[in-house]
Amino acid sequence: MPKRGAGGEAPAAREAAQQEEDELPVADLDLSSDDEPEDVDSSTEEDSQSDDEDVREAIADYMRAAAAARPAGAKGDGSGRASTSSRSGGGEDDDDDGDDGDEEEDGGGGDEEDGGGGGGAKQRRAGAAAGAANGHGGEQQQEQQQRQRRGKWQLPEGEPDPGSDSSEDERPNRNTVGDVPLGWYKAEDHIGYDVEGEKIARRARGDKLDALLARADGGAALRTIYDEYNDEQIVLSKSEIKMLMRLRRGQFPHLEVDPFPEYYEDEEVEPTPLVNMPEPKRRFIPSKWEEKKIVKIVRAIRNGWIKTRKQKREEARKEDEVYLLWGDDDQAANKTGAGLTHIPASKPKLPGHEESYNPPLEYVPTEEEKTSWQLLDEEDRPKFVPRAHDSLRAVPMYGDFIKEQFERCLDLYLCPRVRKKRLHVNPESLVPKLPKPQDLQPFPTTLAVRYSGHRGKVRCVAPHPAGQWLATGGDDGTVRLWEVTTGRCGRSWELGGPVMSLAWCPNPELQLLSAAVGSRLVLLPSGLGGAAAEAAAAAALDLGAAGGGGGDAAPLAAWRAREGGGAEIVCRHPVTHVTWHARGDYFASVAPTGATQSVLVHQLSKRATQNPFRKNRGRVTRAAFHPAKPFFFVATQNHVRVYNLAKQALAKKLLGGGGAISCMAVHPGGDHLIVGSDDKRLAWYDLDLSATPYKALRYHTQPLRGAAFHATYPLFASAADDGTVHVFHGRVYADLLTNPLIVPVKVLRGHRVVDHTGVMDVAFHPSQPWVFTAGADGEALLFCN
Amino acid sequence: MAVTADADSQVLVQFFTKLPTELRVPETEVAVPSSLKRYGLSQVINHLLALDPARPFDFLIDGELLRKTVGQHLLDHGISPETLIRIEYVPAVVPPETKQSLPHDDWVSAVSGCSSSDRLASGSYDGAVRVWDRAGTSIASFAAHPGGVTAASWLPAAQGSLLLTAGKDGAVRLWQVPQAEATGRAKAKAAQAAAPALVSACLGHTDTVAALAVAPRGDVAASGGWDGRLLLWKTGKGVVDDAAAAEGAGAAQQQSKKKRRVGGADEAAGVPTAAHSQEPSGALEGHVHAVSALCWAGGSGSLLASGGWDHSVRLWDVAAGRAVATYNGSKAVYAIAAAPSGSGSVLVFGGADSCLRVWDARARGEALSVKGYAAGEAWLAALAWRPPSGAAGSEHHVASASHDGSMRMWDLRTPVPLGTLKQHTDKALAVAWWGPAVIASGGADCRLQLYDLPDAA
Repeated sequence: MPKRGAGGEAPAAREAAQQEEDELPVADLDLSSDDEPEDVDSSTEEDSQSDDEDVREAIADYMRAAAAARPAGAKGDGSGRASTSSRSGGGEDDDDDGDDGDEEEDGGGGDEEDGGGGGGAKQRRAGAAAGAANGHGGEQQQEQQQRQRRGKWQLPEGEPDPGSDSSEDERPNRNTVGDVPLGWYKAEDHIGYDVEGEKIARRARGDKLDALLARADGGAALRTIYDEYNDEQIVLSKSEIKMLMRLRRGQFPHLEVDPFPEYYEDEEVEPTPLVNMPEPKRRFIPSKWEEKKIVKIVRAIRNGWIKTRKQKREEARKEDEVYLLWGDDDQAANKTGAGLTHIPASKPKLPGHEESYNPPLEYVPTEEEKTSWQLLDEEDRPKFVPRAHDSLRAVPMYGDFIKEQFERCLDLYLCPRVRKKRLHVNPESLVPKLPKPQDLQPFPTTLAVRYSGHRGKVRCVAPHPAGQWLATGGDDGTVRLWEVTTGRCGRSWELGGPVMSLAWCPNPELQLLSAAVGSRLVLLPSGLGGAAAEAAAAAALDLGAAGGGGGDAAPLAAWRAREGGGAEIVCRHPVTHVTWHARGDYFASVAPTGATQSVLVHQLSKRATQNPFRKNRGRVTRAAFHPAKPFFFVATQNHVRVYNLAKQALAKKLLGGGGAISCMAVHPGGDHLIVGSDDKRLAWYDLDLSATPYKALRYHTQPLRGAAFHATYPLFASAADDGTVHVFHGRVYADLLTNPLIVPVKVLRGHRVVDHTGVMDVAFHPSQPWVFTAGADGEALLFCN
Repeated sequence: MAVTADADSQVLVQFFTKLPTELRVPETEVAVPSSLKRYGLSQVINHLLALDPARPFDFLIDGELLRKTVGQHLLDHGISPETLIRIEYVPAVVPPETKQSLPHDDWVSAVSGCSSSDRLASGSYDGAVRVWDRAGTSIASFAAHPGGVTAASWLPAAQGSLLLTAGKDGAVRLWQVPQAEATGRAKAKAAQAAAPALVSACLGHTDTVAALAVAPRGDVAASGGWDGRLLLWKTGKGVVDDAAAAEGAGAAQQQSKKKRRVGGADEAAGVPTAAHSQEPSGALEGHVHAVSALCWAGGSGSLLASGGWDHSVRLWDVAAGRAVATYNGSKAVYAIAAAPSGSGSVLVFGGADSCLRVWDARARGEALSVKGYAAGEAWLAALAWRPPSGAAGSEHHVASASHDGSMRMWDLRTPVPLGTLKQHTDKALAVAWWGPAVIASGGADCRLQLYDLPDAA
């Protein structure tokens, strides 16, 4: 019904529209002037260009959609109704948009004359309302809008408002052929039939060039689409295009649509609960099943049964990673899976020109070269001699083929598959870092004083404990007392036999000198300490009361007064060494040939002699007292035995080297011992360590004769038959963790080697870093720092 | 100019002097070749002064004697050769000459010259002390110390004719040596007249007395020995008076003993026992080993320098009894000497080392304050500072005796000795000045050697 109503109204409306058209320009201009600049902008500006592109796309889309929808639209009202209903909300507001159509008059100008039909007018009016669904020429739209306005104004009484009726929007098609392929009418002059059954003539259409030109001109042509069914040009308004764009973007076609209207809920809390059940326990405790599930998942993740997204990504990345195909070529050091060393295959040189069957002439050796090669050693000869052949057929078999194959097989068979690891150690780095001798000063370096006077070898030196005097004894049977600084011989004693050993009594009251001469042990009052010392010495040596050797039937030794002062102890065997206990009462003598009586300990205060050892294992060469503790060192040829005198037991046995021990000295601290032997070796023993030497110093080229420690400075020295004295820095640390530091610092030369004997004895000055040496050349020397 | 400027480089110098006006050159700048040595500069001065008999001059640049070329000296001392160099010239000291050799029976271990009277005392290892006059005749000889005399020292003339000796027997003895009235008499008679008398024995040391020093005024003496003690003794007239009082009744007996001793050949046994003996008046504690060198520093008599085998050199304030300054070296000290006049803070010492060391005790920091002058190869045995004399620069002169038998005379302003005389065939053991112009040295070749300084006048 509304359709018809509208239709009936159409001729009058059309007339009015026609009338209006004449008057309208003013109003039209008025309306259009608002939007003119915008349009100009859109044609000039670039983003509006892109807008145009969008528009064109949207239109094309729309056309496709329309083509798809047409049948439905043609068959029934459903789709058309839907489209109009979407528009109905904002029909009024879009008026100004509808006005845009004004300037598009030219685009739809062609439609004016054929709009005569009432149905056509009706169609136009509806089309303007439908907007997007079926576009029309601009003037029609305008007309229709005006009509609409007018309609509003002139709505006849009792007529239903056409704007309120949704069916009013539906625009009947001009063509009524229905849903038939339009191709059927392609060859015809008409496109179909109108409602009256009249043929609708096909309008003349501009060719594509015109369309292109029109488009290039911009303006409404861009927004014009062609409706093939109705054979019409439809110009879309801007609002329609915008709506299309929104649809394309998936938005609502109308801006004013609120998809999420506010939702009001009744929030009133009921004072009484609906159920009277207490809150269940599960609301308060975590779910056990969930926990179990989570534990399961965690375990699965941990064990790698399921992979997290991150792990999966990692794996995927790993798979994509590139790697070096020949990367293991330089990993020769690596082991193969079987534990064998990876030995890369050798890469022989690629064959060059000379390996060619017909090499260039410069590669072919001349006859002279060949003959010269023949003269060479087989190893130096070149392995391959290039030869030229006319053709490949003329190339003979490789002469060494069998041999090389055999060798290759041998190589493979005998190839060592385990690389021998060779340690590259710089020998320098193995040498311990010793301080420089310059940093260890003072130590004796230069010859300062010569003590000449002995006729014959000087066998022993004994510096006076105060440091002013030096006693020497020699083969000429004299003991001489020298002033240290000047080399002046202060006193001399004739003892009637080679003096083998000399030692000062440590007791400063007595100033007593002991000498071993033959089988006698002579005690000489030196007369140095003045009258008091002389008197004390005389008292000590007064033999009036004591008889001698302990009263035994076979006395070990006989004490007797010596004519010329002093006393002498006559032993039964030749004494070679005498040494004093630090307190100055006991002294020991060593007679190597004495067998069971080789070591005798004498006591000055009692003038008694005792034999501490029933038997001695081996030939005793030296003996020494420990400076502080009740220990007694006895050096036999191969061992040094340390006896505890308090317990009367063997405390330690030190092992010697190959040669017989010839000299021994105890460190003033008492914990260290140096032992020189005939195998040219000076051995340092740390008594707290093992029985073997801590250090063996092999510096001499001849057997050692003497060894000595300095009383205060960290020095020790060894003298040997090669005529040299070696001075060492031997620092002993107070803490038990640090080993002694032993550095050879100086070789002192000054003695001539006479009769294969060089330096016979060595001793340090008690207070200065000086060393005294006794030489076989009849001189004693003082080396000072 | 006598020296033409043909050398490659020249330095601008200005000569000045403290000599009298007739020896002064105008203080103008002179360009001299930097290759000139002392002799060349001396020629320049002689030319400028037009001295007919040419006189030798010595030259001092910043208080140091020139011994190399001028250029080398400047280079060594970091002086720019482009600045004006002021050079002081002094009359050159002619090196000592050998004068006389006096034979002894044994090694001569102690020498002391009496500055006021013309006598020289020498002690030797046979224990005898001999007194010599200028003519080289032995005035007296007497056994002083069995075992050897280690030191002898005349007391100043104000205290009378007294000689202090020390020996290996650990005793210090004070002797009255009578003046010889006439030298023209018969020798035997003179010896008889000059028989020295033992005034006092100083008993305190238990071992060899190694060093002896008499204070400038002569009333105090110091001795150091191998027992490590440094003892102070009263000497001089006061002790003589005390001894005279103590002698009292036994004078005649003493006299006869003396006669016997002097005449007797067995000197070692003939040392008299003194009627008067004294205890040390004080002791200076500090040395831990033998005190082997002693000397009084300066003219005040309050400073005593000592050196010992503990490698230390100590400067003592005697009145306070404590060490003012200590230098710890690395070698035993055998000899020490200090200027007899002045403040006495500059010491020279030497020892088990071939080095003469000069220590300025005023300077702080041991390492910087000690300079070493190379003195041959052997140990330095004795040192003696020149007594005050009119000669220019004599306050810097020191004589030294070395174990290589040489006697060196030093000017401390240069590290090179003025003269080295090797007269001894064995070690030289003692050295002393006999007046400002004569040096005496004794050695292990049993001779006492005298040296003369020609221009001392």
